[in-house]
Amino acid sequence: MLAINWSYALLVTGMGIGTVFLLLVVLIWIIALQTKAIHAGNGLAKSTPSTQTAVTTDTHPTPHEQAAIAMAMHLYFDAHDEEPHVITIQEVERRYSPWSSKIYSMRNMTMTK
Amino acid sequence: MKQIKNYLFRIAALAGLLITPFAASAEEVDLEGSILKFLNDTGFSRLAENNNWLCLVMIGVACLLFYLAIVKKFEPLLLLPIAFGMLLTNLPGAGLYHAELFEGGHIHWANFADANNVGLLDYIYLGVKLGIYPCIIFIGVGAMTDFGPLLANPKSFLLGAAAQIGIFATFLGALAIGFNYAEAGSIGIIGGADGPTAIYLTSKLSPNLLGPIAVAAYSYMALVPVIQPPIMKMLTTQKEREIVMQQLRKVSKTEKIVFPIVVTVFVSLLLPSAAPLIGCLMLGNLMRESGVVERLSKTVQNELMNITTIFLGISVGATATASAFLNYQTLAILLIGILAFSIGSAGGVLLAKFMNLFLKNKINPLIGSAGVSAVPMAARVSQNVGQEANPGNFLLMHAMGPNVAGVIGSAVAAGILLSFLG
Repeated sequence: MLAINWSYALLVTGMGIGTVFLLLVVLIWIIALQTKAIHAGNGLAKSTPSTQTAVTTDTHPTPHEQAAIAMAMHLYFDAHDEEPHVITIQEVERRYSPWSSKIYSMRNMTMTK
Repeated sequence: MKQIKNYLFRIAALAGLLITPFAASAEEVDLEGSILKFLNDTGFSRLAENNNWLCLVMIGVACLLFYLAIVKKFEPLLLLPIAFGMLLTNLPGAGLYHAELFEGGHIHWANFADANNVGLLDYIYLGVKLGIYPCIIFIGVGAMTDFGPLLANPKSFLLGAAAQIGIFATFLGALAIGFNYAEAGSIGIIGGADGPTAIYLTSKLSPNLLGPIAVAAYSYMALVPVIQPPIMKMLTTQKEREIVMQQLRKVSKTEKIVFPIVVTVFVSLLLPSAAPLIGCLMLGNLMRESGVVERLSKTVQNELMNITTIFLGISVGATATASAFLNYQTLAILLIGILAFSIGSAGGVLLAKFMNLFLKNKINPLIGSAGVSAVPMAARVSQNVGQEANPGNFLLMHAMGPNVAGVIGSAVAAGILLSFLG
């Protein structure tokens, strides 16, 4: 522990924290500039503060929207059905034929262009 | 029947003719010696040699990681390959990994010429040693990350920066308990809660600690839902946890496309050592946001990322040999690692509280803890703790801002440590 040059260690720490903060603060500024420039390019530069407020809406979701989001999150995180992992389909022995196979009809994705 | 007998007789005669020369020379072979040699070559026999019994302990540790990955589902995508790599490297006599090829932090290329002394995992580990896998994973992470919440609320960058305090506090702590600068820097980066960044930095600064640091980083990332909530609740009041934040503005596609280019240029010019990580992260993000290379974006998010994850996991696990893992350093790393996570989480929450002193529209301090990267686990924790206090509060998207800012912040912190200590 005595062999450690603590002034150097503190310098690294100070410079490290300082640089991380400085860099990210400058990035905030750059993003703000970028946003302004892009909005200016889109003809929004002349927008009044009231128009900007419209872009950055501060309205909360309506109670109905909140309920929908809450239900979706509840379903996503908590309420998965427990699968019994028991296959109940009765197997029927049948000679395979590609003409009757669902693989060639049901699971093919449609072509999208 | 007669024909069959005749046929069998011919086969027996032919076999006799073929065996005769071997039977004649059999007298010269030391059968007992051969069997003894075979038995001595088995891994079971080698377990009795020197300190090889420690390999059994490591196999036990690998089994513990299997349990955590398979039963407890702690980061199974990486913990499972890491555990298997650990298992393979600790099988005496298998010779899959040779630490001496990478001794002193350098690749001894000359030794790779003798293929008999190079194992499969040695070749795979080159990807870690050369810093290839973490960067490829960062391309995939970038392609899966939506920086929209961060662009909508750039103040989140500050929370992402505050959470990196854990890295530097741990750096000092590791120095205090006897690690050298490079090792302390590698241990500190655990606080960034970013696996690829931790592996990238450790492989450059102190490859001898790669195994314990990777295991600590991924284990604690999986434990974020356990580690963070008590800290968040301890540092905030009920009223603060109930704060409902403003809805985020809509971010245009142009902003999202320009962002990765601007960040890459700016960060790389200021901190060139962070360029590989930041550049790869932003390349993946540009693929996603541009919308013109959907095939590439899909590939880096899935196939490329999955293949690299397998190689990364196995090779990182392979570095955890008994001699490298079973020592007091590993225990110290595991202890300091949890401290790093805790300080990082606390740093974000405290800065959010501090910012609230000046902000008109208050932010919920719970989103501060998401500043440690651990995407998206840390943001989910903020959401869950927030909803405990106020069920009508939805912090997830607000927390995603500091969360992705933390990814950038930890990559920047890694670049700083690399430029100072590398």
